[in-house]
Order: sequence, then C-alpha cells, then structure tokens
Amino acid sequence: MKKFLALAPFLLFAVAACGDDDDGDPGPSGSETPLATGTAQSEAFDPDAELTIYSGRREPLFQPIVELFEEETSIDVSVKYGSTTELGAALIEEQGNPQADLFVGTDAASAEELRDLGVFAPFDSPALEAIDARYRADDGSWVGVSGRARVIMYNTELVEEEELPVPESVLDLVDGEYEGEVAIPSTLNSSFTAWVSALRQFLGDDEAESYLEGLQDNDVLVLRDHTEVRQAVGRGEVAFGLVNHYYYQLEKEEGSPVGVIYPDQGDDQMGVLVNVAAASIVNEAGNREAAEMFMEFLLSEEAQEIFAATNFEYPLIEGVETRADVPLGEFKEFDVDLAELGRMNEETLDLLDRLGL
Amino acid sequence: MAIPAPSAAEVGVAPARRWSPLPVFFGRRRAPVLVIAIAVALAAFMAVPLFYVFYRGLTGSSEVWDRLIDDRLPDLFVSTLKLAICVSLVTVVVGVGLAWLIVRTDLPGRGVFVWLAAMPLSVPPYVGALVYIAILGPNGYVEEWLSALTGTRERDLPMPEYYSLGGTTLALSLFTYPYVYLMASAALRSFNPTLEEASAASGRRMLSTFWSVVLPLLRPAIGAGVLLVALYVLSDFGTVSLMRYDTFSRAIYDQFTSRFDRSAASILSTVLVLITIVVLWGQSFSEGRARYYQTIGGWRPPRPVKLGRWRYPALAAVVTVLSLALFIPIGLLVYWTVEGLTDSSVASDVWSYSDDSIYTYAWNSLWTAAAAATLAVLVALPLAFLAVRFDSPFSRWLARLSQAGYALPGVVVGLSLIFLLNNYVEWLYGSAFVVVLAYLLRFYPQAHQSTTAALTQVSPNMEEAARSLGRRPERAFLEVTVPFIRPGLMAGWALVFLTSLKELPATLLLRPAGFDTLPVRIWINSSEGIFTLAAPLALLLVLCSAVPLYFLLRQSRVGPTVIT
Repeated sequence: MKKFLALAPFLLFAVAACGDDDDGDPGPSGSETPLATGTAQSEAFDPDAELTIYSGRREPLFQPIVELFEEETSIDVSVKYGSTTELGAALIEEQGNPQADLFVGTDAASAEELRDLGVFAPFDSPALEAIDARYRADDGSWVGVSGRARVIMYNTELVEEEELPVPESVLDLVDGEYEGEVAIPSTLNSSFTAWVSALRQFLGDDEAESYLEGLQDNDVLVLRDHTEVRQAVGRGEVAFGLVNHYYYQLEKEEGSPVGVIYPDQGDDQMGVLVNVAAASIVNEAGNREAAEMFMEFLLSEEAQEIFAATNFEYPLIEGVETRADVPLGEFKEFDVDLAELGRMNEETLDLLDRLGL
Repeated sequence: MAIPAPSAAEVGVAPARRWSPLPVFFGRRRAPVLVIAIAVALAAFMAVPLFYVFYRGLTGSSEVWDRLIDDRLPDLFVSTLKLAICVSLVTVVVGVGLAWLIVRTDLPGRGVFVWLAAMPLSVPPYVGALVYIAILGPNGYVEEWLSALTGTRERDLPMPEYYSLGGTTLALSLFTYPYVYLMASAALRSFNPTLEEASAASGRRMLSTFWSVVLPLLRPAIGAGVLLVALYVLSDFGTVSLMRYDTFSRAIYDQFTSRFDRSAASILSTVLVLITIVVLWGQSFSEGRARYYQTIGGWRPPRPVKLGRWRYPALAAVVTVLSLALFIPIGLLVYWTVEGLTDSSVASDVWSYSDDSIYTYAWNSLWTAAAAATLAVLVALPLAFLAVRFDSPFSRWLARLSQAGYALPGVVVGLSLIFLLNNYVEWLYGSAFVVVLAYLLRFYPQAHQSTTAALTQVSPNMEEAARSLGRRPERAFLEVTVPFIRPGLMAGWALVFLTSLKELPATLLLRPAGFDTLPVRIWINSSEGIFTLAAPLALLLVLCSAVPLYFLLRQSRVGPTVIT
C-alpha cells in the first residue's frame, strides 16, 4: 500500500494550485480525519461549549444575531442554513440522533407540524410572557420571534403604465385584467403553504381550490422563493407579487418602484394573515443549556431590534418599534390559530400537488 | 467518467465448461481468499444504498404510490425524458461536430481547440445556468440591451421564454457536450483512414463519407458519450432547479423538503433509479448488437481533410461553441468578481461571510474531494484485480455491484444515506465524512473503470514471473503491476476528484452544520440573487476543476481509453 504515497504529489499540486491557506496536512491521510472539518469539531472538546442551529431564516438576516450572541456569551455557534422545510425534514430523520440544538424556521404552521411529529422539546421561561400567546405553542415548543404579514406588493410604474387597478383583495387577482401579472413563490415555501391553509379556512376547501385554479388560469408565475418574487416585481417582470411584507420593504430599500397593499380589510373580508418566524429547541438537544440561552436571547430587546432594523419585521415584544411602513395593529389581521394552520398543512400540500402548483 | 468498457471482464476467455457449476461461476483459477473477502465486503458496501432505496420505495405506502401515479409520475416521466433526449441530441451534434473538425480537418488553431473544447467540463452546469439566466433570462443583459436599442420595455420584447425546455437544454448541453466530444475524438484519433479513402475513391463527397462511413464507425463512442450525458441529465439537480424545469431529481428533493413525509421522495427515487438502470441496460444492449471491425494492419495517421472554403465558417462555428460554453461564462464570472471586489459594501463579504471565509469553503471542497478520490482508488484496486486477473461470472457480478453508484443520482445518494445512517450507523452521521462517503458511492465507477482499463492493458506475465519467484499473488500485483498502472490510477483519482468537487445535491443534504463547500455556497448565495457574491466562489471552483481536468486530458493523449 506504500505505493499510494506516489499519489500524494499530485494531491499536493491540486491543493496548492487552488490557493489554499495550508492550515493542515494536505496529504491524503491527514485530510481524512474528521478533525479537519474546520469550525465544527476542531477547537472545543467540551460538547457543552458549542451550539448547533438549523436556520430556515436567510443568512444575511440571521447571522448578525448569531454573531452578537457569540460575542456576548462566548459560546461557539455553528449554523446550517437551508429552507425551513428542508431543515425540518432533516430534523425528522435525525430524531433519536439529533444534530441540532435549536431550529429557527420562517413560519408557525410548519413548526406546529414538526411539534406534532415530536421533533421539539417543550420550553418554559419567564421570557415567554413577553410574547402574545397567539404567537407561540402552548407548551413553548415553538415560539414566535418576529412577525410577518402576507401582503401584495406591486410595481408602481407598471401599474400606472398598464392602467391596472390596485386590487383590494387577494381574491381580485383571478380577474382577467391581472392575467400574467402575478407572481407567487412555490410550495416549497412554508409561509405560502400556511397562507393557502388560511385561505382554505376562510373560503372553505372548494372555493379555495377554485381560487387557486383561477390563479393558474390567469398564468400566475410560480417562482422559487420570495426573493425571486420581489425581484420579479421590482424589475417589472410582473406587476404584482404575493409576499411577506418585509420583501416589499427590502425591494423598496434597494430603490425599486414598489408599493404595498395590505389586502382584504373590509368587514366581511379575510384580513391579513400574520405569521411568525418560530424558534424551537430540538428534542434531546445535546446542548440544551446553550439552546435555552439562545432562545431567551432571541426574545431580548437587542435581538428584536436587529429583526426590526435589518429586516423590517414586526418585533413581538413591547417597546421595540418596527421599521415597516404599516405597523402591526394598524390593519385587520386574519383571526386564526396558527397551530391549526399547521394541522392543515398536509392536506394543503396534497391540494397544491394535485393542482401542480 | 468512464464507461462500462467491454474490458477483459467481457471478452476474456470463457472458463471451460464442466459438469460442476462451481468452477464456472468462480473461475478456474482461484483468487486468494483474502482478496475475495475484501472485494465482497467492498462491493456489498457500495451496493447497500441502491438496495435500501428499493426497499424504502417498495415498502412505501400504497396510498402515496397511488397519489403519485395519478398526479406526478406521468408528467415527470415525460418531462425528464424530453430533457434527456433533447440534451443528448444537441450534445451529439456539437460534440461529434467539434471532434471531427478538430481531429480530422485542417481547421486553423486546432492544436489549441483540442484542449479548449474539453474545458467546459470544468464549469459546473448549475454555474452555467446562473450565468445564462443573467444573460437570457427576464430583464437579463440581452433584454436590457435590446430594450435600450429599440426603446421597447423589456417585458414587451418578443423574447423566447428562457425558463423552458429549450433554455434548460441549452444550459445543460453547453457544459456536458465534452463527454461526447472526448469520446468521439479519442475514437477518431485511432481511426484507420483507409475506409474513408476508399469511400472518397469511389466518388462519395465529404459529407456523404461522413454520414455513411465515419458516423457508423463512431457509433460506439457516441453511444458511450451520450450515456454519460443522459446519466448526468437524470442526476442533475442544480441546473433544473435554477431553470424551474421539473425532473425526477428535482421532484425528489422537493418532495423530501416540502412535506414532512418521506415516502413520496423514496418512491420517486425508486422510479428514477429504475429509469437509470433501464438507460444503462439499453446502452449496453445497443452496444452489444452492432459490431464494426477495423483492420489494424496498414494503420497510419489519417491525412487531415481539406476544408477549403469551409475553413472559416467551420472556425466560426467552433469559436461560437467555445464562446458560449467557456469564454462568456468565465468572462462574466470574472466581471462579477471584479464588480464585487470594487464595491466596498460587498467586497468584505466576498472573502469572508459570517465566520467562514472563501478559503474555508475551498478547503472543505478540496479535502472531501481528495479523500473520496483516494478512497475510490483504494477500493478499485482489489475489485479490479479480481475482475481482470480472475475473471469469472462471480467477479463480474462483484464489479457490477460495486458500481451501483452509476444508477444513483446525487439526490438519491443523499437521501439513502440520511435514512440509512440515522437508522443504523448513528455515530457516523453528522460529520463531514458522510459527504466523503456520498462522493465515494456516487463516483466510484469512474475509478473502477479507469483502473480496470489500465489493468487490462498490462500483461500478467511479469506478475506471474514475480509469483514464480515466490511472491504471493496480491503482493506480486502490488509490487509489480501497480507501478505500471499508476497513470490509470491517477486518472481515476482525478476523475473522482473532479466530479466530487462539483457535487451539489448530496452535499446539500448531508453537510453537517457549519460545513459548507464551494458548490453549497454558490447555491446559497445565488438563491439570494446576489451574483457578485456567488461569482468569486464559482470562479474558484472552475479553476480548481480545471487542474485535474488538464491532467486528465494530458493522460488521455497517452491512453485515450482511460479518459471519460
């Protein structure tokens, strides 16, 4: 087997050619040790010192909070970023062999579904009292950390040029005049799925289905995620997009000509669905202590300020102001039990699959 | 990548028939027990994920089967096959065309083109797709330019939809045609020109000679190249996701990640693996039927075909393909990188995002790919040794079993490892080694093929001499033969390294927290819609891939059968 060392020069060559910061033995034997994995296992032998988070929240929005936490507690945090549902699926498979201590997702319905599957551990803390009971699970196995409203954003220039009336209800979007002018994110997106569940609750299954079919007949543009939707609206590919309110804010901040509609405000109308990004402690977490600390940190004024400042979200504790154009409380919310939406998730996905959305 | 070559395993002397079935199955010469044991263990290990996928799929709930058969399977089947067929056709035209022009004609600059035409393999197709979204997509560079030119708004321009079968075919073909090109040019180089000359002498024109003589002789090589292209299309996840085109791989990932029910993903995986196996079987079937023989006697280097007035149109065609597949993508990546570096608000993020820097991602990519490549070569040795030196139906079966990765797209490997490890080997899960394991399982066939091909060319005489001097067979093999096949081993190493470096879906599913590779970061950054952040990573990935690719191309001049 000694002969294989003959391969080493080429290996060295490949590594060197790619400008690596040779902080390790690049030989084949050295590179196979798990210790070379970088941040995760190398420094600390004490498992309590490191916190592992799965984050469905996008990196630019979440990383500032992680860094602040690391700074204040000197606990090392490593984060796996992905979509909420992608990481949720991993959590399910990892039950009994949990890798993550904490999960931060982008909506309450999928968190409730995961809770139902036994992925999360209950959590109790005085800090929870600051959060409205509507925005957390009864047993604290998911806790809302920031609020987001389901709105319609639109391209102001395009609406003017095309002389499109500004819709007052999401239900208007099936009208012929909006043909090819509406973008939605795909069903991979849990906040969209939760919104469809809310529609089913308000309209009933049959009407919700025919509404979605109406959108399809109207050539609705199905994009990968909200970022794609806001960019499509911002650059005028389509006039309207169904998004969480802060996507409108982010696009506006980048200088695009966009406006926002908080739809369905009439007495007999649905109102706006307010969902929460939810954090949960993973069942049998290896580092529960640090997870609890992070959880409480998320509910602190400092962290809430960051959610509000960097991402225009609705802080869920008193005393922190939102930067969103329309603050919570100034519009009619859809009256819903978020956990109930979670229980409807499965059927909603079946419906969306059937429709091919 | 290598193809299932009809190596010694297939053409070797059949063992003499006896009334007892045992020697027929195990071969007359007995391999050392230790080697057999190692080979059996390795082959079984490599095949476990394949069987596990079937097990999960076939035990999936019948309700979900029904739902999928009603709602998804027919559409997915059609759209996946449509894409595979379109990409195959385009890559054949482009790959064979380039190979013929570069190898057999007096095209100007063909000494350079011979290398350049293969280089698009170093651009991962999902990076290419990103580039072309920015160019051809809605409000992309082309629309912007046309709109400025004509004064029409972008959305009113009558541009063909880029997010379509056509656009996806374009993105995939541009970066996979080298498989066909490499196969075809290797075959063309070893051509005996007498047939063509005979055809020309009997009055056939150039084109007609190409159609009726060259193409049929190229058929096995084209078949092998197309097989690789088709397998790539079936396994591709990044490109089709970016292009919003539905195929099995994408649907599996979506099913696994959008609903917390894994049976749908398992079932779709089973169906995809079955399709892949049918494709593999179909290829070996068609290969087995037609036979064209060339006489070795009288071989001499072919005289280049004079292109005459077609010289410059041909040059333009070659330059166009290379521009689309190489110059434009890399140029744009460089442009974005420079733009990102000169924009102070982005520049710092380019080098280090969060805790990790671009170097961490590069290092993660490099060491996992290198570890997988090294393991693949180590695994290939006993299996190839057994298959070539002790050919028997049994050793052939082992070889086939060990190459199960051929039929396992990245998404499926990722899923089956998640399922398997969490249920049975918990301690292994959650480390970066799982990523290495996924690369090994997926790309092992390449190492196996290169090793077997190299071994077939080495006569066992010297090994036998060493054995007659008292060496045990495995020591004789290691000490005498292995030094001879080192180029083949290194080619296998480089192939596994190259493909592992570009791997996206399995890495995405299996990476532990805080462990991102270059492809993963490109994926994350591009989903933020920030090209300036994805571009430097993509550029680095292309550069890192170019090194082993260059090495492979140099190798292939010596032994053309080894490459691809």
